[in-house]
Amino acid sequence: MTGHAQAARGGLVLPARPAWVVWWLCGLAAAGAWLALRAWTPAGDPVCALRRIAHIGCATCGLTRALAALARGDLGAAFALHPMALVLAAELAAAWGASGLALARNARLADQRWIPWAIAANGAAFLLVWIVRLLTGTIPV
Amino acid sequence: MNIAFIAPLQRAWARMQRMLFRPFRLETWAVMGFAAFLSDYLSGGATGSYGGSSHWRPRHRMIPHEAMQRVWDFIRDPAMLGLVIGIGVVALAVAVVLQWVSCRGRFVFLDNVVQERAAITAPWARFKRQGDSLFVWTLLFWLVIGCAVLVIALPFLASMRSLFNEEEFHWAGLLSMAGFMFMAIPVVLAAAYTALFLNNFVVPIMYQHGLTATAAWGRFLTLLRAHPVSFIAYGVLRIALYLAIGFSVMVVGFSTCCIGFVLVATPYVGQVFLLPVMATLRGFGPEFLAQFGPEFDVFAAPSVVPAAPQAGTP
Repeated sequence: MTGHAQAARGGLVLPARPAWVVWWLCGLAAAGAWLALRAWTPAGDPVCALRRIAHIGCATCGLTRALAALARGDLGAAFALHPMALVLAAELAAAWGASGLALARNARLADQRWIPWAIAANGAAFLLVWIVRLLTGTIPV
Repeated sequence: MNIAFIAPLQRAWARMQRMLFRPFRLETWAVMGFAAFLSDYLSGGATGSYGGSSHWRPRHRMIPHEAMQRVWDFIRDPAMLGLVIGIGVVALAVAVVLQWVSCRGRFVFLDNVVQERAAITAPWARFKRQGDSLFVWTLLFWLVIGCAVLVIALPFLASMRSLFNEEEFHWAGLLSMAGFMFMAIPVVLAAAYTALFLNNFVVPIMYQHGLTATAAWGRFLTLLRAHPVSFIAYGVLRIALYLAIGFSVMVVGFSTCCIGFVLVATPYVGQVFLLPVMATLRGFGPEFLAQFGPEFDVFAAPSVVPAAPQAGTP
């Protein structure tokens, strides 16, 4: 099916070869980030501007450390540092896997209405986790 | 004539929702984000240029006198002077080329918003004449503004020089610059309003009637003379909107360990993230203008500019 025909039917229009290149590049970038996080050790002052100015942690404080713990296979530490790290990693892995499967089947992403809802749901979840962590004082320093 | 301010903004908001969310399509966002990038970011527009480093801090305290001496020592070397001039010429050439791209890009983004579709190549080819005219007008405008600021600054050059040559900072030296500020503010204000009117009203008139920038200004000035207060109030409302958007970006940026700032500051990515805001603001000016009659309603009669011939066709 041509890109124009797909566009007319409301599908995601990316020719097959560039789409595979993008898919592989995303996978390689994620693998590189995973390896870098495994080897990473936090050092120095936190970079959070809100913490420096207002002395409170922000909604994403601890996320990098949580992903690093996840990369090392320490699920407990990852959850304690930031519960959304697990959710985020699972979502990204699922999205990457699903898009690869769709590409292999030459299928198109016809219904994209869920994307803004998914982004909004993630935003709301981050906000909720932030409020809970602020109230319980569990934002990592 | 009753001129509304909120109703056009609501219509622009509704238009943005139709374009970007009913239905939501990633390719629409990708293409329109690129149109917004061409239109606003490259020219350093109000919602586009977040790329400048505002976090730069000097590593150690250096008084102006010492800094000026170092600069002078640096450029006294002919090789360094040549390098500085070379870099300056290249930077100027790049800025001029980006301005040319941005002038054409403004018509591309406006066409996307008016037609409620995502397209780059067709409007890019179609509005070549208008884009080139806008480019020449913009270059001359900034040249005139630069000359005006220079003329105002001339009587104060001695004060500026003493301010930089003093080994210690004196408030009195800074106060002597108050005269310059006092005279420069009206020029800056006039330049800001001219740039605002150009992008919000003159470009849509050029787009609708296929006019050059000068001819479109002629039509707009007739309207401005008849309703000056309404257009000045529009500018004030626009500033209030920019402040609200800036505040929202600050809140998101500070709440996300600056991830929000990085996303917004990244060229193209930032335009895609801010696309709802940018599409609303792009539609707001033409929606406001449409109240002044059908000859200014770009949505009722989109454009008289003929479509560019397709490649391979006679």
